[in-house]
Order: sequence, then C-alpha cells, then structure tokens
Amino acid sequence: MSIRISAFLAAIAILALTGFGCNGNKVQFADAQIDKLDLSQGRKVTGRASGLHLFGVIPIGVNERQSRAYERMKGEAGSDYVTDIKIQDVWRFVFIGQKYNTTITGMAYPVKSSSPNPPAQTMTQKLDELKALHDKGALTDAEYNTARKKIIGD
Amino acid sequence: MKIQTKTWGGIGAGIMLVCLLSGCASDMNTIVAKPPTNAQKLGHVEGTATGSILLACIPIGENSRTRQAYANALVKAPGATALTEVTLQEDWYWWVLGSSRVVTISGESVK
Repeated sequence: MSIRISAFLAAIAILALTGFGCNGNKVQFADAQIDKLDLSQGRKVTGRASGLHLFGVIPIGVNERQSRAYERMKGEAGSDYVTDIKIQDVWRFVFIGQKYNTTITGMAYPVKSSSPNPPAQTMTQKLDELKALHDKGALTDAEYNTARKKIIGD
Repeated sequence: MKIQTKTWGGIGAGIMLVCLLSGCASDMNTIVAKPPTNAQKLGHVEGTATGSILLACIPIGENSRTRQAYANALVKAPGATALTEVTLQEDWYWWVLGSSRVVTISGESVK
C-alpha cells in the first residue's frame, strides 16, 4: 500500500517538476482595411467557447477555446470585416476543476458599396438624343450640326 | 480532540465554500483596435504575461494577464498606439499547488 502511495506521489512530483502543461492554439486575428469599410453600418458580433481543466490538470477544450470563440464570432460576421476586437476570460471553480469561458466581441462592417457608373451612351443613342433636342427646337441648326460633327468625330 | 476535529472541519468547510463561490472575470481587453488612418508601422513586437490560480481558487494576476500581455507588447515600440496582424496564444502548466497561464500577444506595432 505504501509503495502505491509513494509511486503516486512520485508521479505527481515528476509531472510538477517537468512543468506539465500544454500549448494553446495560436489565434491569428485578421485585419480589416478600415478605409474600405462602410463604418456607418457597424454591428456587434460575439463568439463564445468554454473549456474545463478537470482536476486542475486534464484539459478538455481548454487549449483551443480562444480559436473556437474567434471562429464563432467570424461566423456571425459572415462576409463583413471585423475590427475593434475585444476578449474576456471568465473562470469558475466547479468542484471537479476550473471552467473557463472565453468571449470575443467585435464590430462587423460591410465593404463600401461602389456607386454604379451610368453605362456609356453609344453614338447612335447620342445622335438620337441630339436629334430629339433639335426637333423640339432646343437647338438651332448650327448648334445641332456642330454637336453632331463632334459626336461623329469622337 | 473533538473540538480540534470540529475546528478543522469548520475551516475545511469554509475553504470549500470560498472556492465554490470563487470565480472572476477579466475586463473586455482590446486585442485588435481600429487601426489609425495612415498608420505608420514601427516593427514586430511581442509581449507575455502570466496569471495563476493558487489552490484552485485564489487568482494571482489571472484576470489581467491578457491586458498585461498587450501592454507589454506595446511598450516595446515607443510611441505605438495599437497592434495590427495580431496573434494570441495561451499556454498553461501545472505545478501541484496551482496552475498558471502564459498569454503571448504579438503583432505589428503602429502609430
């Protein structure tokens, strides 16, 4: 019995001395080009994820909770770009370990919609419009002929 | 002897109650700020900060570790006001009486 206890304590000591732990996932936050965004249409987006440190040692969803929260926030943003990103970590003692809740929020903005240019008029359309103006009497014969030559010359 | 047992039992119950009620939330810490217009890059920086939970319920620097890591990164580029291309990583290790979390934040410092 004492051998088992000694072995257990030795295992704990080895784990502690070797710095038992884990590396979390690295989260790469995407940048938004602020000058290309429509800042008048911002909306708040949020992503949450939890992890449990069972008995303070065994990680269950702990190492990737930030990346999961970020992915959920991006999913809520859809095709919009997110900036002004904030992160909050909440921990609680839950009797069998510690529970961590990570919340990531941001402001999602759509890309500015470019103002559509009117389609260029064809030469025929320009001539028809010019003739209509001439027929109405809005243009004299001289003005009509000058404008017509200019359109044809273009 | 009975009194001692009751006393220790009371202390144990008190610690358990404190632990059950314990829990903390960090502030909402900015990770990616709106980049300033015409931002000038000052170089790549990295900052780390550690938070620990002693005896499963006593936080030591636990709630400020992300804010501190960001501040430690910014201070390496004098004049920097924000970070872009930000990465965040949290590693943890266990040391019998508690556990610690090391937050590393890196990115391009800008002003």
